[in-house]
Amino acid sequence: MNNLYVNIGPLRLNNPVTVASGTYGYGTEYLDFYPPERLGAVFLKGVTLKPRAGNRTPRIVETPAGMLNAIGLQNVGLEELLKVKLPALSGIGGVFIANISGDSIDEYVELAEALNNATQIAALEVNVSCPNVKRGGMAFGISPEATEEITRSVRAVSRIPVIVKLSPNVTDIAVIARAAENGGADAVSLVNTILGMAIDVETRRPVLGNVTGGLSGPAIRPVAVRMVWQAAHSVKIPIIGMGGIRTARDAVEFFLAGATAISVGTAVFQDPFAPLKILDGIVSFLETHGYSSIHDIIGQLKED
Amino acid sequence: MRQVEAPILNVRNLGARYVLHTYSAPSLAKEAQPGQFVHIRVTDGVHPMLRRPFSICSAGESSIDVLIKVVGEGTEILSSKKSGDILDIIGPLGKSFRMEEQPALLIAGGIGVAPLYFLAQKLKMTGRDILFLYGARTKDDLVLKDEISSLTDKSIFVTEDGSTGNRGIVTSCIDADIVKGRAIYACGPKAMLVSLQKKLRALGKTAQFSLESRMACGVGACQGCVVETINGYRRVCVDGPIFTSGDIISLPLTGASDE
Repeated sequence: MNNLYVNIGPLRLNNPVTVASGTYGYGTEYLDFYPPERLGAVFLKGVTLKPRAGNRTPRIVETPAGMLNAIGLQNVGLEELLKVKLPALSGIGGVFIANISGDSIDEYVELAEALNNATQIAALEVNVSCPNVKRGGMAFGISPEATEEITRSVRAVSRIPVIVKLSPNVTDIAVIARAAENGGADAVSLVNTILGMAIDVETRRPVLGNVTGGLSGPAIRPVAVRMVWQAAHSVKIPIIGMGGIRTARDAVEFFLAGATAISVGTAVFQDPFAPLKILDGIVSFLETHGYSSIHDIIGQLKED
Repeated sequence: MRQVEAPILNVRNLGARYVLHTYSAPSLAKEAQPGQFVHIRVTDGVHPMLRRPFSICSAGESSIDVLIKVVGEGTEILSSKKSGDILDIIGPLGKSFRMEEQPALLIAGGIGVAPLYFLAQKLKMTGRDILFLYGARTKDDLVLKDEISSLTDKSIFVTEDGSTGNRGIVTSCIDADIVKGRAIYACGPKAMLVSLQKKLRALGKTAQFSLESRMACGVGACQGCVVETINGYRRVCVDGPIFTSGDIISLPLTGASDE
């Protein structure tokens, strides 16, 4: 039996396959398919202090080997998360990670403090990379100073592991990853979606109500692999890699590039069982190649 | 809700742009209610990535029917599938129509006939009086005309070019007399539903609208398919696809019905 345990800072995951925030709802939407405890972790839909209505429609459009989305962080808000969504997870096995977003550092801090007492939450993912909101989000994540300051502020109040989710819409991901590490992050997760746009040539209008949106799916995988590799060279903390993963071989690319765990996102829409199939495929890959542990491939890219 | 590998039992071509698929899916067929939909995977490859949602058009003991109009890459691929091919289907998804006690008025525009045909079959089984109003661009687009005719003796057909039935659009048939005492159910292109919503409001009536929208997850997770309602943005996939006409503020950009 292969050793699939990985450590994300102080957080131990049974396996390295997780599902990405925004693609798996509040952890209960896919219960009819399989229990979430079969996943390494579930990153919950991003939450803000107050409920958010989200962006105008249309919010999604399919693009070559992927899709654009501009949901705009529609979410139930902190109060309903605490009163309704998290209690619904009680009794359901699995590692659930909250994803928080704010317009200011104070809001991130308030969210982190409020989630300290949520027993269903194993870690925090700090979203400084949403491309679809006017304030906060990516505006923080493209600045190393803001990334470090938010990370430090959240780390100071949070009693659970802090993961900082990074944007690919930056000139140098290594600098941003290091800023998160310097701020005290236990791990970084990358990449969020790549800013994109689609135009309806008949109407001459943008397809998305928000004009621009975040590109995800296999189309972005090479960009994501490159950024995980660059970040891995820049920081010592664990990396959760994602961006267009839909097969075990895709996942192995990320492990070799330096990711300790991976997230599946858009592929879940195509096949809700994709994360489990990827996990099975990783096990087969390890066995076929004579590795006894996932750690035998993490960061083992040959670069000579 | 479940994911099944469903063999195609039958492919019935209904003219150049329409095809009716019958899938063997016993577990889905047993649960399926009118108004619900299935989410069908188009390809195993990377493009097109997303599943395609289709209203359930009919459900037998162990099979379901889905009416497909070829409007783009996804439906093109699906329409090329042959009897015996196996499709990955998730369903039944979404909420069903509430079947009201009163006599029914069903208003279908184009491919919007699919969920209403299923509804009409169920309403008929319970002995309700049904008036079926079915419009499309041309006679070639009235693909279930014969089925509707034999199901109910009170049906009105309308085509924009007058190639069969009355010339015009379904909404021009709506007046105080036709809606009187009837529970109204409708599905069709955005322009039809917008016009119908306005007419019904003027008549002091509401209807159950079945909506379509671009969709990713289909299970309520991604918030991609929302419609703007008086209760905020609501997910077409799980809060709908059935919505009360009076609650809708702005309809989503629709798909096949508008092509």
